[in-house]
Amino acid sequence: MEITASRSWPAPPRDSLAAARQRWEDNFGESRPAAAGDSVFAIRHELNRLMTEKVGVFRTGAELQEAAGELAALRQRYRRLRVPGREAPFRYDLVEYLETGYLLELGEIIAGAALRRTESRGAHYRLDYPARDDRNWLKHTFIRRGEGGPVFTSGEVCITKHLPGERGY
Amino acid sequence: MINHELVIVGGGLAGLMAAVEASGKADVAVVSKVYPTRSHSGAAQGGFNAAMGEDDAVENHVFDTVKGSDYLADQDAVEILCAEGPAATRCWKRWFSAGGPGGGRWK
Repeated sequence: MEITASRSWPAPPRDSLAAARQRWEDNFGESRPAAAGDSVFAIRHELNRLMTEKVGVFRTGAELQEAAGELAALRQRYRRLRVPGREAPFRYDLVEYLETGYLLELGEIIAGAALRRTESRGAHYRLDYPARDDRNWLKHTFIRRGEGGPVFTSGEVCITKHLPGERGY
Repeated sequence: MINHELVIVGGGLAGLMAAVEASGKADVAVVSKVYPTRSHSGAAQGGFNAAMGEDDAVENHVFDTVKGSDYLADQDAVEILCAEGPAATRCWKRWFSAGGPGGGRWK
């Protein structure tokens, strides 16, 4: 199989494993002060609402931009939460905490990629860019973790037989 | 720290089949957040697609997949997926159906 050999995937940063390990261990740091009156459930609930309202089926650049700002604010709140302890073998509050962190990251990825893709294609529908734009966007989006959030790059799509055509049903 | 040559994240059908394929060639581990019977393949409401019927063809499945991706799918990968789909589907059908013909083989 020549798939991976012929494709130009961006190389992961050299220290990515060490960074991932550090990030994971940071989840268990117990020295962070408690954020009074906030909870991981409230943040998750607001994330839900935000993604449905502004990163849903019908998208616009303006709303996606707002979503990016609100996601950054949720991320700030998440950082101030007290991390649940890890004494018991099954800590559902810890699971909830970790999942919400990943959901925030995914939210940033989805909103950022949707904002970047200034066309409509497949299930990605931009009211401000209603047509498919093969000249600029017949390409993949690659995403990797950066210092300040997801970093987006583009990659070529492999076409063997089927040239892009009008998509009717 | 636990070490493996290959770690597969997710114990659904894709993860398990990847693990079976790689076993014997590498030291494999499958990591699943839930007990693997709760992995999400069991909840696939749209079913699974492969060119299984006599009036079906791999080429039709290839085009349908490319069209479904709105031309953003890598067609070399789609061709492999659709060509190997029928054998893979027969294989896991045998693995997971109680009382079915045992010892399903990939290919």
